[in-house]
Amino acid sequence: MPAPSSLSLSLVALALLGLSGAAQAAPGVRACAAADVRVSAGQAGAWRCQATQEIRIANAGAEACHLPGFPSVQLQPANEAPQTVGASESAPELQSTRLELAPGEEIVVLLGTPGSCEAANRPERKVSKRLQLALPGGGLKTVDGVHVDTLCGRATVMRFERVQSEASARALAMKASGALSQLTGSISAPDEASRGGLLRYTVTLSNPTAAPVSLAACPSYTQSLWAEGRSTDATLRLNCAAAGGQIPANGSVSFDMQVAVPAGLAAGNGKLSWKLDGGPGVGKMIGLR
Amino acid sequence: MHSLSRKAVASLLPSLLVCSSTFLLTQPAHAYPGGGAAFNGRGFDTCAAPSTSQMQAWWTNTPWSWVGVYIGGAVRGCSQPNLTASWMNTTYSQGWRHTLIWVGPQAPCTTFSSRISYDSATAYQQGKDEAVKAYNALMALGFTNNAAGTPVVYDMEGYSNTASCKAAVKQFMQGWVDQLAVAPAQVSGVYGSACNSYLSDLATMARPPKFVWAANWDNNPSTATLSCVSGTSWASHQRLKQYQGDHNETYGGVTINIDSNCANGPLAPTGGLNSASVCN
Repeated sequence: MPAPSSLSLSLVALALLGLSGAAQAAPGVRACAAADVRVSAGQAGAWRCQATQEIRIANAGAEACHLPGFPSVQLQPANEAPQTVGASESAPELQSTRLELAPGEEIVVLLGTPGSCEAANRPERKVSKRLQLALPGGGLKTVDGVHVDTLCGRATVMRFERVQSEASARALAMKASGALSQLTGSISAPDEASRGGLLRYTVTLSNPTAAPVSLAACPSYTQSLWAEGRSTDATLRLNCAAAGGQIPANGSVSFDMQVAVPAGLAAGNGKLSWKLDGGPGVGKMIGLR
Repeated sequence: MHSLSRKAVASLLPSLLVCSSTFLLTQPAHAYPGGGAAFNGRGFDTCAAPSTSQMQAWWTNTPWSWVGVYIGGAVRGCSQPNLTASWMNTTYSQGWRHTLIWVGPQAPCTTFSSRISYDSATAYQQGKDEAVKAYNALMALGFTNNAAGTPVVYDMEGYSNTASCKAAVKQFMQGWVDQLAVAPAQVSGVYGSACNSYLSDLATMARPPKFVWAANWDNNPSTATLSCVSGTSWASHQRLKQYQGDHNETYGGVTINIDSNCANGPLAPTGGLNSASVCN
């Protein structure tokens, strides 16, 4: 490997950008009606001692709509009166958690019933295979194929939240950061480092696409080392000129890095993090001696 | 084939150095290293795998080093639209270690939609069948080396205290342990309520699970303290503990509903012991 040549590079410290929180419903967005949404039965399962049933609600319309809280759900057992599903004692706020659905977005409502009780030692069960949702904008939706067993207690809503789709997150990243968001990263770092010393490591950015990715704008990156509540952080610009200004199609570029390990960091497991602004992040556990 | 075409170094601040080299590479496959080892540190689990951008926000400057991932099973609680080989690979690159959780049939005396048989031979075979399915799921998620040495946890939710039910669960878990021990062997674990999943019973199996992950919401991260489990059971870096349940935490602007955990036991794909960890 040829010896590296040194060159200077000005640094630009950038403020870390916080990720945006949950979307707020825009004023004027109307309540979702039955005609706006597609409702389906999701997974029936087990979680936190509860027998669970997902209900998935997708905005099938062309406009955004909102739910001012989880929709009214009524179980429809075969041989009994309908039963209304209430809020979970551990999550009463879900009744008034307002969620907005853009076209194509999906929300999950997770129902739960107690998974065990003395009565469950006998073979009889009280299973509802159908339920009905009342949408706040008007109309009902019937969902078949669910499995909600109320033998051990009433059904409640455990979760009501937007599905955090990897695909939509990537689409948003592509829109915000362009081709940098398509890069992948890997890190090569020692397993251990000395406090008060220097930690040297290498970050490799790979371009899995068939077109080169330009580094002409010299994107910034943030590196940090964390241990037991204390960290050292720096935001710097990538040495893109030295890399040739681009990452070739189906190619990679490696960047040698180093960070001073503060003597005051706690000994034990430290967390190294490196994140390209608009691109991938990499990290590793480092044993701090 | 890797060919070095260029390398340069930029000397920056006394504490910082950036240099670059350009390589031409073949494309990396979505490969996650098979294997595992004991680790000391905090982790979290959540019903559905967050997006990789959310995982990145939760890696930087947070207490969390590992994440529990529900890889499959008939009664997995939440759909997992994000969980792919690419997700495993990306979060591993971000620095995360993982606990792989399988949620198949539950105790026969429960109301879950899939349950273990009361018949002991059938229960044993069900346990073996679930181990095969879990192995296949690991393969689909891109684990290398046939996932040899990878820790896998069976999620056995709590159930009522009846002898027939407990016997069926023990038979089932024996099938799970025995099948995972077949080459290329994985490391068998069990998750459950420290008391209501009767984990202490499983310590008396002929061939017990290699490690235990106990739900014991006492807000004490120490894995040495598990209700209803003897201090001599799973005592050699064989314990994970879920010490706080059902709460929201926010890092980097991303809020996730989690359970908080500590590890003094095996994680995928690598370990890292820390004698000073609060998890010990």
